[in-house]
Order: sequence, then C-alpha cells, then structure tokens
Amino acid sequence: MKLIHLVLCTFILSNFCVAEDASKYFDNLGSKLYSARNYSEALDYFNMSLDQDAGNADAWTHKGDAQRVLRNYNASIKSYYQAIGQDNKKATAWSGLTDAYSARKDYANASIAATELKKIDPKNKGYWVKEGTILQLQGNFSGAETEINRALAIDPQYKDALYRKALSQMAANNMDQAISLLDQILEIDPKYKQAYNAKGQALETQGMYGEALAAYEKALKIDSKWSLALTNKMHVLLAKGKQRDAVDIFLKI
Amino acid sequence: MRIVTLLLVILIIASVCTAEDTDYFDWKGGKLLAAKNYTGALTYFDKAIDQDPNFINAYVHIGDTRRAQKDYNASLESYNKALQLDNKTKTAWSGMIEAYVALNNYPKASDAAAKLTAIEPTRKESWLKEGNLLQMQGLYDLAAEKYKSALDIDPQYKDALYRRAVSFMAMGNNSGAVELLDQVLAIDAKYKQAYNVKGLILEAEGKYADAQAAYNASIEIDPSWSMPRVNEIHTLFAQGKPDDAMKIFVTV
Repeated sequence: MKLIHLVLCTFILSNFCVAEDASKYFDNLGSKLYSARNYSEALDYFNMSLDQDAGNADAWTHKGDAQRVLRNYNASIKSYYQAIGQDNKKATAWSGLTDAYSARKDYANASIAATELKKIDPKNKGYWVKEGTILQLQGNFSGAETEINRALAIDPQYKDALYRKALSQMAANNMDQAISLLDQILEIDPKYKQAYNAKGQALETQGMYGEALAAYEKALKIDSKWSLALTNKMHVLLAKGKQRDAVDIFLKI
Repeated sequence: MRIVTLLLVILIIASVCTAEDTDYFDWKGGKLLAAKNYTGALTYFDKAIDQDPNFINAYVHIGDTRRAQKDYNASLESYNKALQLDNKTKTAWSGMIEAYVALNNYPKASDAAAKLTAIEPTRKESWLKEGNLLQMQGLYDLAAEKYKSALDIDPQYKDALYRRAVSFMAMGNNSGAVELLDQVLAIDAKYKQAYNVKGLILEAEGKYADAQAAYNASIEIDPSWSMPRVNEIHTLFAQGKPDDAMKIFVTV
C-alpha cells in the first residue's frame, strides 16, 4: 500500500513540475516576442503559460505589460491584480499598475499603487520619482518635490529626479533654482533634451529670449523633429517680434 | 474587292482588340496598385506600354506606383514620359507635385503646380495647392496672390482664407490676418486651426488673455491636439501663472 502511495505522489509531483516548467517556458517565449515588439503574439504565449499554471505571477505581470502596450488598460489592470493576488510584493506588477492607471489618467489609483511600490522597496530611487511624477500630473508640485527629494537623497546625480524637481521649481516660479537644476542635469548628460527645453521655457519666462532660443536650438540639435521644442522656438521668435521666422517654423510643425 | 474589305475589317477588329488589351492591362495594374501589390502592378503597366508605347495613363500609373515605392526619381521619369506625350496631362502634373514634395524639392513642386493651375485655372484647389507650396518656401507674398485667385473663384473657400491669413501674419499684417480668420470662423465655427493662428497673432501683440481664450476655443474643438495646449503654456507664463502653465507642461 505504501508503495502505491509513493508512486502516486511521485506521479502527481512530476505532473506539477512539468506544468510549472511549461508555464515558465511559454512565459519566456512570450517575453522574447514582447521584446521584439510583437505584442499580440506575446499575449498568446502568456495565455498559454497561464493555462499551464494560473499561479504564475510573472506571466500575469507580463500579460498586463503586453495589454498595456496594446492600450487595453482595463484588461491590463486586471492582469496586474491577478499577479498581485499571487504575490503581494510583486514590484513589477505594482509598477505596471501605476503606469496603467496613469495612462488612464486615474492618478488617484496610480498614486496608491506607487505608494505600495515604495513600501516594497524604499531604497529604489525610481519609485520615489514615479510617485513624484504622478503628483505633478495631479498638479501637486510641492508634494511631488518631497517625493523627488527622497530619490535625490538616495542618488544626488539622478537626472530624472533633478529634472522633475526643476519642473516643481518652475511651477513655484523659482526660475533661477530651476535653471540651476537643469544645468546640473546637462553636466551629467548633455544629451538630455528635455532639460534644454525646460531651460528654454524658464529663460523665456524671465524675458531672456536670446538665451531661451539658444536652449531650444540645443534641444533641436539633439532631436531636430521634436515638435515641442519647435513650437517653443516659434513662441520665442514671436516674442522677439520675428513673425516671419515664427511662421516658417509653424508651417513645418 | 471583297477580299480587300474583309482584310480591312480584320485589321480594324485586331486594332480594337489590341487597344482593349492595353486598357485591360492598365486596369489590372490599377487594381494591383490599389491592393499595394506594386511589383505586380508594374508588370501590367509595362505590358500596357508594350502594347501601346503612347499609352499615357500607363506612364502616369507607373509614376504613381514608383512614388508609392518611394522611388521618386523613377516616378518623376515616368511622369515626364507621360507629359512628353501630352503636356496637359493633369494626373501626371499632380503626381509630379507629390513626388517633388516627397523629395522636399518645393521649387520644382511649385513649378509643377503652376503648370497644373495653368491647365485648369477655374479649379480653386489648384490655386490653393500652388499657394501652399510657395508658403513652404517662405514666399508669403506670392502665396497670398495665389490664395486670392482661389478666393476669386469661391470667396467662401475657408482653406484659402486661412492660408492667406497665415501669409498675412508672416508679412506682419496682423489686422488683415485676424479679419480673414474671423471670416473663416464665421463660415465654420469648428475650424480649429483658425483659432490657433488667431491665438498666435494675439500673443505676438501681447494680448495674452485673448490669445489664451483663442487657444482654449481650439482645444475645445479638439482636446487631443497638442499644439494649442503648448501655446497656452506660453500665454499662462506671460500672465504670471507658472503653476497653471506647468500643470499643462507636464501633460504635453
């Protein structure tokens, strides 16, 4: 009798292992397709993975990612919650959830998800900036700065945090402080086009049109087709009374 | 005599059949072109030309196909062959304009547009096109004249009114531009571009609150259009409202 039980247990266990392996295998294949931007096919493989093992939190997360890229935000949110149901500390699922809510402009829920992320890994500077960015999208620039400062306490050279802090400073009309932060970024990374663009905006606000124009042009040197910097350049030309040059740009945007 | 008559009839029938083959090949190529099967389409257009080397439509269609394949020089070559056969082939001039625009060669595109306008001077769209190509070269005064010709045909032609306003703005005639834009908006209150350009003119004149209102009217028509939203940022900063400006800045 003991022998029969042993054989039965081994059989069940091996089936379980095979299903788990197959689930991981399909999840890996799906991830490869996802990396190759073949999202629909990737989704098929994530579903196959979940058919094998509905408890595979990675596959749920990856499915959520693929659905999010395909702009199916509601389905994506459901998938992330499935992942979180399997593993409450699954940071990638909380991160995806934050992004999916943000994409839906549901910043309140995005903020809740971002808070969970910080609880899971408070030493991750990116999570503090994520929360700060969501607060900025809600128009809470001072609250955002508090979060962003936490990221900078972890890494004072973190350029995304410096950039976001500069935006908060601009909202508070502290243009000199904002420009100083943007210059710090450009020392770290001279190709950070957003910093040039924001610097142009800050300079323009101070009436320094020549300097603002130079900043926008530097952004355009990095990315000549960037319509935001082109539009901003058009405005500074309008402010300088160069309407003809402004219209030249207007027609190309 | 009967034999001669019979031979004559056979000759006529054979000629008709050949012409029908040419039309068929061209039609078949056109179908494949529409289905984006460019290689297949070219095979049929070539067959049409083999049948009749003077078949203008096939040359035009080869030009269209080459243009769809982004082989613009080959496209222009084929349009030119069509025009050598008949200098008034509108479709060839039209295709040529598009090919030159794709090559960013606006002077040549403009020349081709002028030929098209000369062939069909009563068509308002041709004048508009010619004007737009002159605007792209910064020739705002010449462009304004072309729009005027379009408006002589149809005084309510809103695209020509709008483009003429843009030329006026470039030439510093802001009041003239606003007058034209108001005409556009009287014809079509949903013409978002007119509100946007009106906003730019008001902003250039330092009338920031009025400019903001114009941008907002444009945004109301199309909330997903980013340009008036970016424009609004500048008017908000100019009015000393950095917090409101940055609320938009972080979303664009």
